[in-house]
Amino acid sequence: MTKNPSNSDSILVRSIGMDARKEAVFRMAFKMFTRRHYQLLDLGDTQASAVTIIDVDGAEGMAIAHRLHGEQPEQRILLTSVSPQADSMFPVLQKPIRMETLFPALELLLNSSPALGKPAGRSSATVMPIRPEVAIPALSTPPAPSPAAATPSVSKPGVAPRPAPLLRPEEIRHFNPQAGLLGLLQVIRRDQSSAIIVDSQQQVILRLDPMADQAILLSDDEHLKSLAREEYPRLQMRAPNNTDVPAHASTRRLTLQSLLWQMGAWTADGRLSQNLQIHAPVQLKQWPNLTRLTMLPDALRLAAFLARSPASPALTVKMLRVEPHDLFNFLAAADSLGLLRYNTAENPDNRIQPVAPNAPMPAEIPAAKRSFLGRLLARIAGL
Amino acid sequence: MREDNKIIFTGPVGVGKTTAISALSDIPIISTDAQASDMTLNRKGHTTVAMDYGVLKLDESTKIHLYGTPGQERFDFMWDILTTGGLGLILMLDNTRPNPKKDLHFFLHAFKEFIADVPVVIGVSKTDVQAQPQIAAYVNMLPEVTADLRMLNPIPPIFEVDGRNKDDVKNLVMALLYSIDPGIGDQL
Repeated sequence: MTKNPSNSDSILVRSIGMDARKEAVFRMAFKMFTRRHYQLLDLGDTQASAVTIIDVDGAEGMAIAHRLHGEQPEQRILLTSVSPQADSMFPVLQKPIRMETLFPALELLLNSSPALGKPAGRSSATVMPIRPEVAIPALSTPPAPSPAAATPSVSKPGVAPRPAPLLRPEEIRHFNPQAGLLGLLQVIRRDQSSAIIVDSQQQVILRLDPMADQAILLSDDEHLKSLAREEYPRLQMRAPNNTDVPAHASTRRLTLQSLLWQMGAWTADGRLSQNLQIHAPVQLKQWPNLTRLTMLPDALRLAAFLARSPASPALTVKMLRVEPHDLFNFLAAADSLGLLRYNTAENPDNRIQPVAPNAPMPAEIPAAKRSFLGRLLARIAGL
Repeated sequence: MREDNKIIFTGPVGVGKTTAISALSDIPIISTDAQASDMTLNRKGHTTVAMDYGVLKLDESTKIHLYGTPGQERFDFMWDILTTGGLGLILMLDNTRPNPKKDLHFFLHAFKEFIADVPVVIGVSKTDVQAQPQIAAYVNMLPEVTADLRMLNPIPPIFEVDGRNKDDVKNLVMALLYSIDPGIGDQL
């Protein structure tokens, strides 16, 4: 007895040849599908089902389907299999099963005559085997961006965007990342040798072990911040010994990476590194490990933007509407960890890498989706 | 807006996918857990046999579905059904596993069609238990592991995470959203 799906709140589905895990997947798929209410019957439930889904990859194979069809000729049957079943008299869903093929197949089946085609000839209502439609992104080659004007794909801002910050090149201040405390830290990172940094009174400020990625701080943040902003602080670096850190001393421990990141931002203090030019592209080699570093303003979106493709600081300000001082601090912090690529005569290995010609290009985000993503972002941020 | 917006959490057994989803979900997580019956027993007593499900509500009619895949490799046939309508993939790796590079390769390839269209973010857990490999090592593994893949974001975020830390999970998801469109934050 086949239940008429149009007169029922639930469309009852029976599964055959599946273990509990496969059935759980179908249950979840039915739960996710809101247009119609499908319900998978439990084993032993004697209610009549509207459809029976049979996995024919088991030991009995197609014999189960033929047996059921012989016993219940009116039963609608849908098969699942990893292999095409070209000669099947029943519609087949080829694995892996996808939502976009499962539910259209069920709809077709429910709207067709219960007595499906017989081997002698299929009726026009027969649901043909369905292959999963795998969306392959177009391989079209995007126009290559010119190095100086690479324009990453960022949708136009939606409602109530931030006002575009003003960027006056003549007002940009620069700093030298090789000088001062940051410069000393860069040397220690580069040489991978342990060191201490002392001030003019020979007081230990930092003890650093680059091999272990460890920094012991014997100075508070305010003092370090003020030292970072001095271009020529009276600091010395020397090899450590066992008495550098007295047992009773108040210390804090950080990873050297965290210290470098923070010192990079403090040293920049809203200034652009003199290694960078406002209209020359920069690129992230990799994302900073932002869950274990001080979260600088807009760091996540700046990382996403600059990891996607090269862009100049000027273009980044324009596209993301970030404050220039926040961008400059982020760039200094990333550069202190060696995460930036930019073209310099001194370091040809660090040149900007061209975008791979077959790399998928992010699609333009429709305004509605962009608005949705913005709401989702705000929701996550507020958790 | 469609109601089938999903974020997929994947990764090996015991990495913390269920905990991460719980940190975001507005409803008690629906888990299809069962007693582990194989090698999984060595890592935890219960494991996710089918999948985990949580919901993040934007309003009465708009939901984000959060799915956690089963960790065991033999259940990979189930994963395709999850990915339709997905916003992106969050891959969580366990630094204490014997071969995290193999895990990275396995999961990125298992979702290779998905991550050609949507971004992936990678969270490495249990770095407090086992410090090596460091994040830089995962970065160095990527070119070889993904040489035959087309990824929407070939330079994905790789963060240290603790699934029990809500901020870590939030940052993973926010990095995923910004990877879709870095411009969305200009309205915040």
